[in-house]
Amino acid sequence: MDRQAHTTLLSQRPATRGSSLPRLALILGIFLLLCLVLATQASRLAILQADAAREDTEARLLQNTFIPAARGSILDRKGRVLAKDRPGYCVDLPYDVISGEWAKARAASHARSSTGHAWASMTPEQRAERVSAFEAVYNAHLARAWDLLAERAGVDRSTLDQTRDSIVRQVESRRATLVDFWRIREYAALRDRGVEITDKVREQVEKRTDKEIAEQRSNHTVIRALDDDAAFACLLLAGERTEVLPPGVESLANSTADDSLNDVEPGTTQFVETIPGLTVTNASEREYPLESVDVELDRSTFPSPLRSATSDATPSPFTIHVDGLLCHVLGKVRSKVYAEDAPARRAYLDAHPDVKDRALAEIGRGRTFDLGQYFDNDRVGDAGIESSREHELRGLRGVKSVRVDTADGNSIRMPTRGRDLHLTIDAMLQARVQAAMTPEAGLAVVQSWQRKEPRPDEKTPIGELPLGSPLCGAAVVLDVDTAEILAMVSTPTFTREQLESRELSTNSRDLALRTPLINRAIASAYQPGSIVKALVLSEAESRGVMGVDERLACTGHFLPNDPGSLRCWIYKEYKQTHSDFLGHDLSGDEAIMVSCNIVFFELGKRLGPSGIRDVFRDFHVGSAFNLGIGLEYPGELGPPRPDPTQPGRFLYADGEGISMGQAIQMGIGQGPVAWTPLHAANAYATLARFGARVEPRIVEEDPIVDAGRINLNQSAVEQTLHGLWLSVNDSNGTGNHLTINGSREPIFNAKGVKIWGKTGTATASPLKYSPDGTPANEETIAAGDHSWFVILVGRDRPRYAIAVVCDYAGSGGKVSGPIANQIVHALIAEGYLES
Amino acid sequence: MTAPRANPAGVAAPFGPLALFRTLVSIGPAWITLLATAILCALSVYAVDLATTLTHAPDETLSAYASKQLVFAAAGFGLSIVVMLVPVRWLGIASIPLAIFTILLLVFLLIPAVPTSIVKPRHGARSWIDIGPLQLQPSEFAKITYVVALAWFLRRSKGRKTLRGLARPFAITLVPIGLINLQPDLGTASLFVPALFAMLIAAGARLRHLALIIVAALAIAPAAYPLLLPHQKARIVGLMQQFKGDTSADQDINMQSTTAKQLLAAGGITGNTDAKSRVYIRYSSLPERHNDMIPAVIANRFGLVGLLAMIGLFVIWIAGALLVGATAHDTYGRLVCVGCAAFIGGQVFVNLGMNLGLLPIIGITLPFVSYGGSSMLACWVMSGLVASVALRRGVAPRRAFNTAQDEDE
Repeated sequence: MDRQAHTTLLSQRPATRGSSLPRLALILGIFLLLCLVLATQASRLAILQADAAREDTEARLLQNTFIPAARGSILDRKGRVLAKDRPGYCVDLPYDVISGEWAKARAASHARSSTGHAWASMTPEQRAERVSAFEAVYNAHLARAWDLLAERAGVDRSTLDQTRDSIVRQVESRRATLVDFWRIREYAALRDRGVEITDKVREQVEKRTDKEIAEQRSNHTVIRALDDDAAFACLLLAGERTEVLPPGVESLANSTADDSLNDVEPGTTQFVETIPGLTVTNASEREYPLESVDVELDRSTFPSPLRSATSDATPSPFTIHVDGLLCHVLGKVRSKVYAEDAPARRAYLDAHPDVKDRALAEIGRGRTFDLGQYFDNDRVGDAGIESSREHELRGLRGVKSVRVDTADGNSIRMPTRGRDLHLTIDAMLQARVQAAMTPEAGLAVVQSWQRKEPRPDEKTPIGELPLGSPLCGAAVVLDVDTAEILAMVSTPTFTREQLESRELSTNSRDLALRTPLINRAIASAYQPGSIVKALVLSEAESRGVMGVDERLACTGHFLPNDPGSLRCWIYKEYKQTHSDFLGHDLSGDEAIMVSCNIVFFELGKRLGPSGIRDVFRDFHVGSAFNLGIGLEYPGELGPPRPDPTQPGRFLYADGEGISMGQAIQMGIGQGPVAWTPLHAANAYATLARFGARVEPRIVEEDPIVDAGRINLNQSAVEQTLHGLWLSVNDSNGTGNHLTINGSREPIFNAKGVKIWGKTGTATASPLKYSPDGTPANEETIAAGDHSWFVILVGRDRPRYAIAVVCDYAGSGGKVSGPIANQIVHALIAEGYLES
Repeated sequence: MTAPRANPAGVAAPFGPLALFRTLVSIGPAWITLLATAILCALSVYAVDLATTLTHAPDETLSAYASKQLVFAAAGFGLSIVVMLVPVRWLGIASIPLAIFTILLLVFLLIPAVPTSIVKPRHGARSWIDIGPLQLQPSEFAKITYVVALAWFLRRSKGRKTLRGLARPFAITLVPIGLINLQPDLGTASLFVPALFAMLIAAGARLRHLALIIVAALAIAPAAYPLLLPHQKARIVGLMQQFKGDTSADQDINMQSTTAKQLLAAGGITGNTDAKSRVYIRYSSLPERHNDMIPAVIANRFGLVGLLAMIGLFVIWIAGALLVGATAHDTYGRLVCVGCAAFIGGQVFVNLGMNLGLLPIIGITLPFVSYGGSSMLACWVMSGLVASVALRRGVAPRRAFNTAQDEDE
């Protein structure tokens, strides 16, 4: 045997059992041990957890379909619908169909499948050529699909094209933003790791980040607000298929069967959806039926210059178109859910256990589910009542549970419509008030007769609004007995269309002046001026700093040795005093009637800083009403004080630190005090209730909140109310008449009603605007006095409180007075002042 | 004495019915391995069908996946016959060229310039080569090459009794582990470790050396944690959450694991009916249910009893392979059997551990049962290798006992 054979034999000697068997047994043992571990765990799961697991697995067999719930309507106090859901449908298409990528993908696939084995032997150029021929066919298919969709939905093809292009633009722009973001992040990460950014790395990063975004894989709405018929017509198209033939091949149906069958190989035609990926979904739209209304106004009740101007040109009554009615109050809804919506919903449910009980439903797998939970593209209240009452208006979706394997255990829970809310607002009253305040009516426009004759040496103040300028302002109508807000107008207002177009969010001088988005009735700061005199008198007499029978002298100027400051308006204009004018010193009601400043300086002094502060606090200055219709200005009282913790910053003016000088000024509503028209109307309503405070309400379903009483003497209030009556009804009253071209005409001309009222002409700080925000380019765009008129009106007793203010409009009586008169006519027209 | 055993070429003479019968009988314990293989494959075809079909069409008996799996099983059987007929030594002799070829394949996967039409990353790993309709997973091929090559190396390695002598087998093992880990497929790569240890044990390495290495590895393992990829870390964190009973990630990173456990537990002790099980499985939305998660499917249908029976079949397979190894003609054959048993055993443990929530989900298939051609063929090749060793045991156990020495000693 040679050496090699020997080696071979040696190497083939049998293995020894003695050494290998125990070791192989050890390996088997280890494996058995591991199997024991596995078996133990398997037994634990299959024995201990079997029931729970089976229950869970069973629950997975329940498939839930959610049924959308309608949002509650918002109605006015007379049941007119202000906001409601209009059932509607929308048509969605996949993004690749919208962008046209679908045609490319289909063309490539069809080209390949119709070529068969020959494809493998084709050059890339030949393939590309064949694909592009198919692409033309599929592009034509898509073009027909768009035409058909437009026809079925009853929309214009060009509108559809615009929507399509806009979706593509939006998605592309979003993708570009995201890709940029990803790239920046990747480069930052690479730099952090110390990687050098070479061209190759850059190429890799570009490749990695050049990816699809979610929007490119999802459906997009191309048609909204379809009615039932159009939606059904579109729905019939969903799933319908059309034959697509390779390029150059006639349809089988159009050619003789034998010839065409010879030309077309089997499998070369394909059936594709007529409108690829078409889905019709249920999508209700929020509708505001009274956003635009026409209102008739009777010019015969207007001041004579406006009355006569219409006699030849426009008839009386004439119609005014009101847009954006109640937009400030109602707000809007958006179709996009923000990150903060879900936590807000949870917080609401936690605070309202009864709502939570109704909202939570078991939907299998032991999970509870909030049926009001936000899904993508849900509608969410975005401002006003729509936002603050979101969780009441929002309904609970229904859920249909179907077992996938058997028909047993199917269940359906119908959706619960959101709660309907009734506002205390009377929409038509609101419309009338708003109409009276539109520039078209002429009352809220700077007119020559509203201005006093300038003295020869007087210069036009900087920032004074020129003649013909539309005036901005606000009006509030409050029911005295119930504190219900009947109307709340802020002009100019806005329309939802303007909001969508974003034309209101630009920076311009005009917008800075008009600020249409601000609800002036609750969110703008106004110095109250003389309208507070009624409040000061009633409190001063109730607090005993002035006797009910006491008479005070009007001295023209408050400081005996300084005729240049703290003057009465009669002294400033006519160098006269009220005591001389009336021939005697003034009682409290006479002081209100003639709006004597000197008397109220004196009362401010007598009340002192803490007394005057308490007067304003009693009438709600410094606290908001929390109506839930947006930002509110709580009012300011006293000077702003430096914040000791943050140098350079000021604490909110809360009534502390008022000096005696300021208290004297605050007696006539000047100095460090500011409030809103709602504060004014509420204060007068409180006065008319002899001090009983009721929180103003805008939602009828809300309970009446008794906010306690102000300690007012009946005789003091009666004297104050008499003063207010005199102010409007006595020929010496500041709110009695307009003097136009030398002749007098009453401000109020409604028959059969009693009016108590007070004018106010409040010095206001000028409004400044700088196009770039720098002080250097700042200019005064409005200056002058705010014009106030607050009245109480009723047939025999005060029933409604009305506050009107016009920004930088000058005289209270001449500008806001005629508007208040129109509001009284509006109340009568809407049936509020019938006997 | 019988001719086949005396044949120095080591190949039984397969001539004539009697000779064939003798040959078949002679493979002894390999029979139980082959029998277990066959039953597992039958189970696999049914389980894949269960996992992929809710109801069959009137003219359909098996789902497309199950039919393909049946074809894979048949192909695997055929391949194992071929492997059985090739003397296992020849493979050993060819182990170096085979190893080089395998390394080239594994390196090819990692070349970034290779077009995605050939190497398309799946689940983020470059593990597959697409050649027309065929999809190959070179790491499965690497397992077999590794077993054959390491067995060939260890059969006459002198130094395995010393700690230093263990360096070379470890170094050899690092080659496939490193290349596969770069794909990245840490799961498959980690299967080489138990195979190495099992083969070293069988090759006679000192147990205390191996124990020392294991202890050292366990000690430094936590230090390797930061080297893991983010998704690998996430799975470990997810597993820890499950151990602690934290359900916060059950719909997220732990979804696959918790769903598998739930489906498995829902089988109870005796399982569910075919129809019910199909519904449960379909609507469990368990990912990879025909593949990595097939034990959950089997347990749902056949319950704990079925699962334990399946584990029993694997024990039989491994016991058969080890028995063949124990009675093998030479060290090389023994090591091949042990290597195959270790790979199958390791894979079974890791896969079931994943399904039972004991180990992180790392994409390891269940041998013979999970859907997939490469895995099925590789497992059948291992069965074929065991049968091939059995066929060439050559020496009667009684005669070998006490007379032969381990060839290296």
